Amino acid sequence: MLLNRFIVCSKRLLHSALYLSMLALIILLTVIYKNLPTSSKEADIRIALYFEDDSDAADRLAEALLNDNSVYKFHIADDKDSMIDELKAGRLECAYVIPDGFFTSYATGDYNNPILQYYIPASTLLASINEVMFSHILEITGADVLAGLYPEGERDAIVNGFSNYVQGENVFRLSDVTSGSFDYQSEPHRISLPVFEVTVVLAILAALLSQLIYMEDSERGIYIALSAKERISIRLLLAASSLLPLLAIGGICFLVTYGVTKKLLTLLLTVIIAAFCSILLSALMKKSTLYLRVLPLIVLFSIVITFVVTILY
Amino acid sequence: MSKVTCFLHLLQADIKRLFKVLPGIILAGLLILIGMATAAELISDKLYKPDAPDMFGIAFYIPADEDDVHVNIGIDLLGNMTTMKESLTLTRVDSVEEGREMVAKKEAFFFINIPENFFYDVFRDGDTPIEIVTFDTTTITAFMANELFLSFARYFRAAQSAIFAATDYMVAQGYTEDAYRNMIDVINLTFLDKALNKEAYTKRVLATDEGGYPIREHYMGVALLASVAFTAFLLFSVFQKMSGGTKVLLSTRGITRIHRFFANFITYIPAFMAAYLILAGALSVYLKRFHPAGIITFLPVALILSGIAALVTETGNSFIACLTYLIVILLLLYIGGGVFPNALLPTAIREFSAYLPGRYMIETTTRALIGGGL
Repeated sequence: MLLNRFIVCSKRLLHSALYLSMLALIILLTVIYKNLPTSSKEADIRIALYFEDDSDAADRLAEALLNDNSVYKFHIADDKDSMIDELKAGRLECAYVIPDGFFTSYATGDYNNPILQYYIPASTLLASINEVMFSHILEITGADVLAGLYPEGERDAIVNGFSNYVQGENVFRLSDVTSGSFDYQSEPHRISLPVFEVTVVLAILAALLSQLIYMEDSERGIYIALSAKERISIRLLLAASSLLPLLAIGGICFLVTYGVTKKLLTLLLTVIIAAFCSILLSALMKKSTLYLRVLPLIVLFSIVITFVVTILY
Repeated sequence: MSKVTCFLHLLQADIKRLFKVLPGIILAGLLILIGMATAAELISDKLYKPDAPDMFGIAFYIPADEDDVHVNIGIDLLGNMTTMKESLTLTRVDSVEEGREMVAKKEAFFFINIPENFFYDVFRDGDTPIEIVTFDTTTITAFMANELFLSFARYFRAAQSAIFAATDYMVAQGYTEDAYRNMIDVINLTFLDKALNKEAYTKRVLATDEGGYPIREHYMGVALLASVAFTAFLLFSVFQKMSGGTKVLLSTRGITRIHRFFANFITYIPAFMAAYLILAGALSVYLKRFHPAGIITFLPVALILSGIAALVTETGNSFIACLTYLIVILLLLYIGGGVFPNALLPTAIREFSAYLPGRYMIETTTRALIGGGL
């Protein structure tokens, strides 16, 4: 008898356009996910530079940073706003704006014309990148810094001496003898689609809908002849018939998308909790009109909580 | 009864029904606002997840025969550098084996083994390299450390070049020993200042603003907009509560679906404005920022929300209306940068968002709540 009731409930739900759309949505998301091309995610740490200064020192800094065989990949941005947008999109570690006259200010010790270092909360290497940046700046402006310490007439000889030492290799030689290959350049990457999150939210919605069906039937007097125990079994059957197809399809889609992970257990637990909470809620609400008013709020909160949990963990 | 009079009666009835449910709407709105504002607080700092480690532990070994005075001065100077404070922790070990063990146990990312006579060779054209031991030379962190050492070496080269150039010049010019020593001290301090005092020449700017507002304020605007919008959940069943007989009677007076749409549209406006007034007030208390003129700024948003809500009311079924409305509002919020900031959205959606009201509704609501704009 229970099986017959289960089949009836399932048939009823499977005739509902809304329920079928929910199942189709999970399948559609999985199909899209599987057909998305894998792309290579670069592991380079990208940094953008925007020069408002067009002096010779700016050109030398750009040349030094661009030709640096470093894990930090510097590039020149043509437009400040798009550079900051790129940073906000998480494609840059940080971005620099070098203001007009910065090199003169730096050489003379004027702190009022600083470089702007734009960052996002995920930027963790700001200080290290700044070391690279300023070590080059000091080499480029070092001659001017030194010249500023001597009277006007004595500067040329000092500047030439400094340039010979810093650029020549006869006294100071900077050699990078790092060995070992860097194989972290790229990793396969596929845009993640929220298959798990959508399945969780739809499972909650399906559980709530199953109890709505019970409440509306009950208000029509369909279960008036049944005992309290039988009514509970009907509630459970309705919850099971609404959740099992969703869990089956959601589970398969989950395995296709993520493989076997602990998240599958989370999905299963969510479905069970959703079933029991929806039964409890409908029992407390009693009237379907009241339940109908609360239902969208619960769906909304499910979406918000699922989103927040996804962001946080 | 003329069509106009009948329309006005319909409007009057709608407003009466609105007043009955207004306390419930405000209560539900406050509940949604608490949930949304909590979500906004939780995610505004966590949207960007770092890819790289934020601290490196470094162990180093210096043989006992090296000049400890100079070594200690060097270590003190390194300890004062911002990079060291923000990204590195230095641990001096007593033996090479101890350093290697720290790396093996992953207690340190790197172990720097400074060989005997290294400092002696640095000043006398020697060629003794530092040994940097990493757990895995293929990891990105090994290359970051290398980058740091090269940067420190560049500072050192610049400072020493200055000293050498000045010495050559002053010896040639016959400076007295006192004048020479004074000048070398000045050069040392000047270059040390340049190496240690980078923060004075750098201004850090957090780039996560959205629509001209910091990300937290942006999400608070989204929370307010969503809370006001979703109070409509309680209104659909109220405005759809019209018997078939009433509809027939109204149609005999010339009141069609379009008239009913406009009556609903007009009634939704004060509903949304009242919800805004209370919810924005509550959120302003929490944010400790008050912008009373926001009520006028919010009016266009209330008009758009009313239009959508009135359209959805026409579905005739409050459950379908709620679901449709939920999907429409969530889509508008997503495309408008309310779920993820605009810069994190796929390019196609970003292009598309300029033609939909979502982005403008969010920006206007945030402006109404906070005022100004950056």
